[in-house]
Amino acid sequence: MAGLWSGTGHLSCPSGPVDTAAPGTPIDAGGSQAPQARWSGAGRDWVLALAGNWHGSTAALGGPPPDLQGLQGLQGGRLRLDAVALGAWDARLASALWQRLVTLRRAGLQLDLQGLPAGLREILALALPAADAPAAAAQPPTRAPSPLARLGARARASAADTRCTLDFLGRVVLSLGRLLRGRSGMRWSDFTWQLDQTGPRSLPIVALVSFLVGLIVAYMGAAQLVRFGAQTYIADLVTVGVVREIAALLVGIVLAGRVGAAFAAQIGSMRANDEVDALQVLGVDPMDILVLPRVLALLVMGPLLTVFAALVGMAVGWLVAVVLYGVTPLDYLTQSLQALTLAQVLVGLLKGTVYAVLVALAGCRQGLAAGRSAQAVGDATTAAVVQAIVWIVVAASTLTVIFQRLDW
Amino acid sequence: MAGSAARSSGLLQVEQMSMAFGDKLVQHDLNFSVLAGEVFVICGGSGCGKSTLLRHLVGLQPPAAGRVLYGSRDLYAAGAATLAALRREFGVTFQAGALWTSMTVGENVMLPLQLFTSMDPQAQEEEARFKLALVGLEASFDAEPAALSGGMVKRAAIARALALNPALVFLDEPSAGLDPLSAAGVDALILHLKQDLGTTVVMVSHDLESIFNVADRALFLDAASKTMTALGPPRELQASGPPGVQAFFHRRGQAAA
Repeated sequence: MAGLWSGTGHLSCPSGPVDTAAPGTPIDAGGSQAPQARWSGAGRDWVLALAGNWHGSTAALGGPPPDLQGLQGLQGGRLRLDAVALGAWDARLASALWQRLVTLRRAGLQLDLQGLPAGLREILALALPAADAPAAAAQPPTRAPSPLARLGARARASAADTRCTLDFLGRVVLSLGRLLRGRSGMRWSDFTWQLDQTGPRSLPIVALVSFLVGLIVAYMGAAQLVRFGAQTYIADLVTVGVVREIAALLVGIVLAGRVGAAFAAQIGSMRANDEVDALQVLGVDPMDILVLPRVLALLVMGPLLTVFAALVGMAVGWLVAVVLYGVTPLDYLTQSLQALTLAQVLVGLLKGTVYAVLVALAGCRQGLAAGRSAQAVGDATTAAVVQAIVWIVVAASTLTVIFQRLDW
Repeated sequence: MAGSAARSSGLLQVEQMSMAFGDKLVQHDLNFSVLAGEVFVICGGSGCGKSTLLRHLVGLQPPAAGRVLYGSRDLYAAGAATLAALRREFGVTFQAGALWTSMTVGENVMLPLQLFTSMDPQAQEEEARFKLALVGLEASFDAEPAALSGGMVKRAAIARALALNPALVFLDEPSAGLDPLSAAGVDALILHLKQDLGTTVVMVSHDLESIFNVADRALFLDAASKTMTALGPPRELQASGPPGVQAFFHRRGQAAA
């Protein structure tokens, strides 16, 4: 096979035809001439004559003349290739010839390649379908589905997705049950590693976001309260708002982007690399060894990060009130402590925990459902973040309504 | 370890099995059994479903029809616990190795020992070092999988598959992509597993030299007719198998066409 390409190391045949039909012609016959391709003939017999130097040329071969195209349905037609005056050539000519000839061959035209240089002839013979090969079945034209069909397909996909999520949740619960009965494959070293990855390493970003959002809340609230001379109540506003709602929400969103995406990418690439299958054939449930440590890590870290975010937010409120609005530090502290009830702290912690667990579940679920390509792992990562944020928002509104009803 | 009494009955039996991805049929009417203590090779052209068959045999993908039996136990009708217990009795390698990239090579081999034996950590490490030494990789005990070459990953995966001294080992193209010396080393290891430890080996391969070296019997899957077309010792298939199978074992070009 290597010899076909004249052994010069690149895809070319600079020495010209080896067994050209005209042995008398000099080796470099036509080597200096411009490349030419000429279709000629009539009735059933056609000739495609190639001449000149095609090496490195991007000249067009030209389409078959209309008369020949009209003949395509005829099985008896014949096309002879003539390369007497062909100089040097390379793979580009082979490719261009193949593109022209393959449609003609499929239409039943008989091709006579004997006139081509041996290398070109053998390469084409390798790529062209056999003369008696059945014509490729015509692809039925694919019609775009109707809007109704698309809607139906969407609905079915969405239902399947929901079933998949429920199945996943069920398996997480079973895995948790195995852990409680001491029969889990979970490794505690994985759990502590995840604790470190998700907790301490999230502190800087949680601090930054919490600081800035706390600043906004304190500033906006103070601007209104100061009109009534009620700047002392900045403490109530910031403390209640941050502890009860904002800290948990911020932690949830930060974790979705920082940790949920990482979970999906880690598990997704393990799937793409057969690592998840390798666990399964060992008789280890991937739920135990991959999902559970991650969910438990966020179950622990969720409330802790929420406390941290709340402390940062309250500190910012104190800063704004004391430095910008002249509230005395002690007044602010007293007011804060009066406003803060145990119920509010518990509601905030519960929300932070729920959001963090939702982030872990969304990340692991999307990672395990990922396809086996780089693109699919990227899609899973995106889906994990989107799903986590949607779940967080739904949970936030549900919990808010419930706690309002309970009057906590 | 399977006793010699099981030899006649077959350690693993496949009955009337079909494999499919959704609507797309891969293979149908597969009937064969793997005997205890033999090296059984699954071969055939690219894309005929060899690796898919392996996934069916190890419990990763339920068949579209038919059964996979270990002894008298149906792999897919058994409950999750039975399935997990059955799986621990065999070692599996995947085409690309599938080492757990978050652990070192040594930890990869030690994980099955940690999970399923009561060995102390020192014994686990020694056992893992021994298994890595069998495949010539003892020096890579502390290496990250990402630092290994493709061939080393495959050999490390074999070491991991052997961690629990399984009675049955499934290998997906163990010597593909290895240099000739390493490939010969893997062949020798497979023969040692069979002769010295009585291990049954089921492997996917299209490396003819390796097949002739190690295989007791070969199963040939045909991509065109989507079913098995031959089963027997490779030399016999080469001499008197159906034309497509003979072409494969003689390495004649038309087999690929």
